[in-house]
Amino acid sequence: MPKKIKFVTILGAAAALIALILLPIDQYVANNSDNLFRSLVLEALIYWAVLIISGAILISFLVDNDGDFVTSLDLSDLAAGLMYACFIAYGINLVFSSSFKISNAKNLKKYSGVAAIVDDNWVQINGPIGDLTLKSVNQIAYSNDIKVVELHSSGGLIASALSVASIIDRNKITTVVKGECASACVLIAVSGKQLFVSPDASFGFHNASSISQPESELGKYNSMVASKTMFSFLKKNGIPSDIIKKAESTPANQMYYVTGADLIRRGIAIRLNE
Amino acid sequence: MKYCSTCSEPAQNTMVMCAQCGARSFSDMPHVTPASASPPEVIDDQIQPVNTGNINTLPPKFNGNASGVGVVPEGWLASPPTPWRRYAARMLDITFFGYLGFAVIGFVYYAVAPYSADKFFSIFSGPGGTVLDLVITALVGCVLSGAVIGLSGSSLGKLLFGLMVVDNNGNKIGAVQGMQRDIAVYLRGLGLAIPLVSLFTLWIAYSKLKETGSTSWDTDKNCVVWHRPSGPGQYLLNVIGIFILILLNAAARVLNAM
Repeated sequence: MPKKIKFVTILGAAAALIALILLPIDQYVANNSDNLFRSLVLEALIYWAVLIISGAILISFLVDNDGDFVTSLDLSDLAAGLMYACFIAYGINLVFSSSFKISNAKNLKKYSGVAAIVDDNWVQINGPIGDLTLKSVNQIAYSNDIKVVELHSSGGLIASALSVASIIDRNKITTVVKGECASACVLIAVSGKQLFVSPDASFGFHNASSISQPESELGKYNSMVASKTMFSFLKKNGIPSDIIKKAESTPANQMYYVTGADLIRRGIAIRLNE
Repeated sequence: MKYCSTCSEPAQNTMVMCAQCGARSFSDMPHVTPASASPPEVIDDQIQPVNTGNINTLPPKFNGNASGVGVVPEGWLASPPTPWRRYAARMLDITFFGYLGFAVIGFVYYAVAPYSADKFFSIFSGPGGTVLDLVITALVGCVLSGAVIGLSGSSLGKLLFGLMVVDNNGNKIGAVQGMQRDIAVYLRGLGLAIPLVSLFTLWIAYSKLKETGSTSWDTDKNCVVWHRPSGPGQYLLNVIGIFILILLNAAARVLNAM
């Protein structure tokens, strides 16, 4: 009988913890209270409370009537041990990722970017790329028939740049670069139906860096994933592998520049006749 | 103390199967049958000596171990050894528990320190990564399967290929001794799973098993391996075991390609 109770307890605890992982409590609370910090703390607290309570019940099965630990373990103890190692690791991840999400939410406001300016069917992105840039391009593309997007930017958020690139690709828009177009800006430039550049334009390549806690494990991991995504996108859009190799070895705080003339010579871009 | 659910034979808590009838299920109380409710004098008349015909004793060839091996439950054999079934069971266990162990390690590592985890796992895609993958997967698989074998006397591979690892008295060997035994298998039998080296160590282990009826790690740890007699059912289980092994390896290759 105690074995059956133990088995049911292990299954129940696992089901409760998996349910907590699957249920987006943080999103529900954030939507209702509009407070990200509170919702993330609440989610972590609920998760750890369930984890500790169920763990304590399972440990009680390992204590005999003399208050000592039983020495005769069985397979269910091994399975429960492995399972709890995973749940504890997830709980630790929940704490770290909550701190990262809060820091990220604060920094996203700083990196909102500039709004795109529209003049007839010619759009200009003149400054950092961020959420505001994406929203404005989306709005303009919805109400205007954009033909050209002119870029002058030293970079910005990769996620926003990729979304803008997707809009440009979907609407078969031409891109133009006359001055500097670096980092995330290049993602937008290469997604154009045609890329027109002036010979003295400069294209900057480097690794990505997380806007939040860049030296933390999560920050480094996010930077690495973003870099891989960025290089894979550039490769897919025709940037030669020698440029990508150099970009991969360029840290986030430095820049590897390629001139517009070089891109024209390699057949990636078309010379802009002004 | 526990009792066999089938024949009510008393058994030690650590025993994996009934020494009398070979059943694997036990209960806390013996069966109360009409016979046991009969008057004592009638029972005395009915009591028979232990049916030694149901117990497989070791042949003279293994007399060196026979004193330690004790009795083998009905339906199981201690000899002659079955090296190929043991090898197939080991391969299946290494594959299954190796991937399971890596899945747990990967989940925990990525959850706690994703960047370091990615750096660590990238060594398997670098030069010599395939050999390193084999060596570490086999180690993880041996540790985990050792714990499972120690706690239950069996594992997925051993269950399918009809094998049971117990101590000389027919008891489960425990998680710690199970892991020690399997690490000994990893070192002496599999040669750290290094290609070519493992062929050499496996051949030595095979020769010793055929010659003496026991491997060096079982002799050292006072363990014995029982096996089911070969019959149509066991042949079917062998085929299923090999099929699962092929499926697991194919799944791993597809996963690596992703």
